[in-house]
Order: sequence, then structure tokens, then C-alpha cells
Amino acid sequence: MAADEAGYRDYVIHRMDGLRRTAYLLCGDWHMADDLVATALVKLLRHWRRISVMEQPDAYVRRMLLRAWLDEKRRPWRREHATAVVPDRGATVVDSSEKLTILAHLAELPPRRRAVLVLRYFCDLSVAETAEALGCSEGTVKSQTARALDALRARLVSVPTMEE
Amino acid sequence: MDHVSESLRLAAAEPPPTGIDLDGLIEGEHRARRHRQWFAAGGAAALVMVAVVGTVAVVGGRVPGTAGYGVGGAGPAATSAKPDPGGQPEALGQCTAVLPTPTSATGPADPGKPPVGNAPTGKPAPTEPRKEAILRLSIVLNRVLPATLPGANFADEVHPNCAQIQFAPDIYPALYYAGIAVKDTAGIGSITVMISQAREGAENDFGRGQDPGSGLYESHEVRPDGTRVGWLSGTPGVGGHNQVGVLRPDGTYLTLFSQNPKHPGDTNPIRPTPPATVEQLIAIGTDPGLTLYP
Repeated sequence: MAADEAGYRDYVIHRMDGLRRTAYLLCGDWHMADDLVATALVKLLRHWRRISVMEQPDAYVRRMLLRAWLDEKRRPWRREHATAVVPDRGATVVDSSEKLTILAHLAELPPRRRAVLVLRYFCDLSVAETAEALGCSEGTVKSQTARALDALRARLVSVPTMEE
Repeated sequence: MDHVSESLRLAAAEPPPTGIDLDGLIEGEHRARRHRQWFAAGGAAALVMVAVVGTVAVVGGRVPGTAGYGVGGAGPAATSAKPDPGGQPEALGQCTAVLPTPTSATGPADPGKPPVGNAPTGKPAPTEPRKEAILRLSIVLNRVLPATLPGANFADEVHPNCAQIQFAPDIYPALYYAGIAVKDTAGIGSITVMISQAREGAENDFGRGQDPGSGLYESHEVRPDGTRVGWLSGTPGVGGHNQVGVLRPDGTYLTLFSQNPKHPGDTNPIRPTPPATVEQLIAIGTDPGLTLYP
């Protein structure tokens, strides 16, 4: 319905940037980030009437984005393969060394652990909110966060920052 | 772990221009929805055909072991294939909320449909049965609309067979929804009115004190009685929209839209502006009758 469409458009315009950045941190590629966001937005449009009156539509949309990404990761041709060297990416933006470093380290984390980090430290969600978004217990979020931070810390210590 | 936060923000800084085409995405979903409806209608038609043919076969044909059915030949088959003379009971039922004699339409509360409003607001939930609330709110809306937009014609978008506008009971479980097509000399447009119990933190929609831009609405005011009124206007011209939010102190939350969208295939003249201005939407939304706590 027309009213729904205007509300949807307004909502998306205001949240698009944040959703894209979140998706980028999850997948590490702006093109795929756009694909993930578009997938989530189509689902959002399909259920907009119901979602628009929810208490926390942002949480629902974030969950759709996460699901889109986790589904993507589950596909056989998307599965990650362990490599000794992080492959080059066809980045169109000139990245700083720190930016590359954190992205490379994020890419080495398992998907859900990466999601925990992004939700907790980029989206600023609480443990409870993160647990709800990922559909797991708060204890799981805490343990995943600790492990992700440990892994990140170990890599930051053992892997020196890339030279300019 | 501020360092992690900073690193993540730095990593996601400077995004390239998005490749997401929002208009294309919406149009694609419209197209997909139309296809789904066609398929659904086609499926329903096929089922009806199967039912009719089946009835003809059973009643008019010679089915083994059903003595007597074959006697009438084609005559009984034609009779049984006629549509139900009762005709469209659902469509008639949709209009029962607003009739010339409202009291006759006020049936007993629907036991399966509690009053809307179960958000954790700290305020008591409305106790008015849904059926009665729909009747009361619809009567108010039918009074307020022509008073606010004189000279316009209104039609119910949700219940096109109903003579009067009425709130829909079943579109959303948590609110009352009215979709109104507005036609006047300038063309057509639409107005939407949604009434719900305010959720916790709904006042933030009208802008947080330290961060005015964080609210849903561009501008807002707090009236002497405590009612918060927020509004925003979209792009002017065709495809524009006005939106108003009203948060009453009693916990009723109204959202009103006014639009003049151009949809693919529209043949009617579209209004150059939305059918109701922000001021008119505010006049509708602040009518004291549109509350969940009469």
C-alpha cells in the first residue's frame, strides 16, 4: 500500500548507511555488503506492514541482515578455505594499513564470532541484544566475545601491522 | 575494548557509493507481488473449475453406487453449479463496523480478539473490546475527514465494498489501521491512519533532548496538555508525502500519512501534492475522539 511504501522508503533511507557498514564489516567486501543489504531490504519490504509497528524494527532488520550473511556463508561455493596468506581483494577504496589489518583479522574469525564482534563493538549492542540478534544465549555471546577478542589480540600481537 | 570499536569504525569508514537501487528494489517487489497474486488467483480459479467440473461429473454423471444421482441428467448439475445465493458473506461482514445504526452493529466482544495494545508501556492496556473500538473510532474518522478536507471524496482502500471508512481489525494485530483513497478536483491521493498503544520509549520518536536529529520526525511540539505532535514532509510533487505522529498523554499513539504516489499503471490523475497537508493531518490526529482510552 502507498502509505506503507512511503514509510518503508523513509525508514530505509535513514538506515541504509548503517546497514551497509555493518554488512561490510561482516563480509569484508562492499559489493557483497550491498547484496546482503538488498536481500534484507527486500525481505523487509515484504513484511513491512508487520515490522513497521514493531517495538524494535531495527533489531529485526539487523537480524535479517545477519541471517542473509550467515545463509550466504553456508552455501558451498561461499565456504571459506583456510589459506596461509590472506588473498588480495579487489578493493576499490584505498585502505589504510590499520583498516586492512582489522579486516584481515576479522576475516579469519568464524562467521558467528565475527558477527558477535561487529554487533557488540560496532553496533554497540548489549550482550542481551546481541544474543537476541544471533538467536543464542547470553552466555554464548559472552564466550564468543571473549574468544573473538582473544583471537584478535593474539593476531594483533603476532602479526605486525602491514607496512605502508 | 575501545580500540576494537575504533578500528571497526575506521574499517567501515568512507563507504563507496551504494549500488542498491531502492526504486528498482521496490518496483521489483511490486512486480513479484503481482505475480504471486496472479498465481494465487489462477490457482483459486483452477480450484473453482475443478470443483464445478467435479460437481457436474458427480451430479450429472453416472457415478457407480450412487443410485438416483444419474436420473436428472444435466438439469440438476446446472442447478448445483450455481453460485451460493448468499453471496459474498465476507465482503458484507467487513462493512458491519460502520452502519447507519451503530448500536445494531455493536455485537458482543469477539472473544478471540483482545483489545489492541500489549506493548510494555507502563500504562494500563485499553480494555475496550476491539469490535466496539473499531466502531467508535470509525465513526469519529468519518466525521473528522470531511470536516478537515471539505469537498473531497473518500473511499476505503482496505474495504472497497464498504460505503464508509472503517478501521481494519485484522491487518495488524497491534493497531487499528485505516487506508483512505482521497479524490478531489486536484486528483487522487491517499491518507493512512494508524492507532496503537504507545510502546515504551515512543517519546523518542519526537527527538531526544540532546540529539534532536535522532527522532523520527523533523519537527515536533509538546502541547499544553502533554500531547506530543511530530511531523515531516517528503519530497514535494508527485510521490511526496507528509507524515504526522501524535503521542497522547493517555498512551495512544497515532501515525498519519498523506501521499500522492504514482504507481506503474496508474491511469487516474495524480494530485500534484499529497491530499492532506501536515496541518490537516495534525487536525485529524489530534481529534480527541481518536483515542484508545475513551
